[in-house]
Amino acid sequence: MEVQHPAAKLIVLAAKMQESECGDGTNFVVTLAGELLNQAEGLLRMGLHPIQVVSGYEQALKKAIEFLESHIYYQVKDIRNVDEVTKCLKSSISPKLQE
Amino acid sequence: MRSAGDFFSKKIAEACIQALPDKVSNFDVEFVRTAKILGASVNDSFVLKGLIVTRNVETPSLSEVKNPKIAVYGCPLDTQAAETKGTVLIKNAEELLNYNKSEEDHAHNLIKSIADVGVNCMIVGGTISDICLHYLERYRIMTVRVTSKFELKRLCKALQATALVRLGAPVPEELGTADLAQLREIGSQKCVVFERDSADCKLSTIVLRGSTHNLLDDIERAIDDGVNAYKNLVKDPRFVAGAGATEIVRNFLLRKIDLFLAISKRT
Repeated sequence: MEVQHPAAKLIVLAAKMQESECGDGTNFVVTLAGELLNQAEGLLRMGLHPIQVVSGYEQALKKAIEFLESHIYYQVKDIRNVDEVTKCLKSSISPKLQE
Repeated sequence: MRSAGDFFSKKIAEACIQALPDKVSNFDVEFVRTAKILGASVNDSFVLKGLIVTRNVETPSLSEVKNPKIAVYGCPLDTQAAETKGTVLIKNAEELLNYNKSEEDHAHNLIKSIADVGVNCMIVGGTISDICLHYLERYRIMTVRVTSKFELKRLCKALQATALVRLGAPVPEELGTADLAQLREIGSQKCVVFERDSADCKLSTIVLRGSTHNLLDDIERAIDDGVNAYKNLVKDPRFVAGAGATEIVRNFLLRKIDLFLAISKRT
């Protein structure tokens, strides 16, 4: 993708990393990054320094990862069990096969 | 009615589990391949053990080899053309008759030397001369032509063969193996299937059927994502709620902390 803006280039880079690391979820990366920037705009207008915004975001990230551990609702017990795996893959591919 | 998502998630699961090596962390998205064959309906897609080349064999009399020993050639199978131009002066009828003979002998010796190593299946990346084809058939070597370099590379990896770039008999280590090489017809498209079931490199192919190229491409993309999802599942089998539910809850929790910090800072 051809992008000029340096910040937008970073988002493209992030999406590419996601693609090579996980192979999916690139749209989510872009929307999340876009929204974080959107929120940051308000903070900057309030007079915060970008460094403070970054440190705030980093704290939130740390907490968010902590919370993630407590939000596990399902765990695949046997990765060789077709039925169990089917259930998990369905949520990933169904939206992509809608006509 | 079952949706396409239900159908394909099952197929992907089957294909992935089939391709899962004994050491699960070795799983690679390359192990599950897709082959797009136009025709029929998407519900006719199926999972195949092994690899598929959507091409007919060059040797029509041979359509199946069990436990083949496979030689892979990246070069055209042709009696070597001379580098420089030469003029052949033929003085009498006998020389004219013998002129082609030497080329024939050359091809014969070449194919014979390959057959002597035990090769009974061959994958060639370039053109095959008619004379070579004749001897290939005579020595009962099933031959498949693969035009794409990437495809050739993939086949080599799958069959654990080394692609040879010069003509001549391969050494046994350069040969690939499979359980079965077979010519099959899928929707009037002739395909060669290589089945292989080894502990370290299992492969499965999802054969996609559909009415248009667009449709097939769409499904292929979705399947790639599905296989990637499985890769991540192998890495970490834990799931959180989807559709933004987890994000909403986390947002809520983070905001609570935010408030807490604000209060604690003030006091």
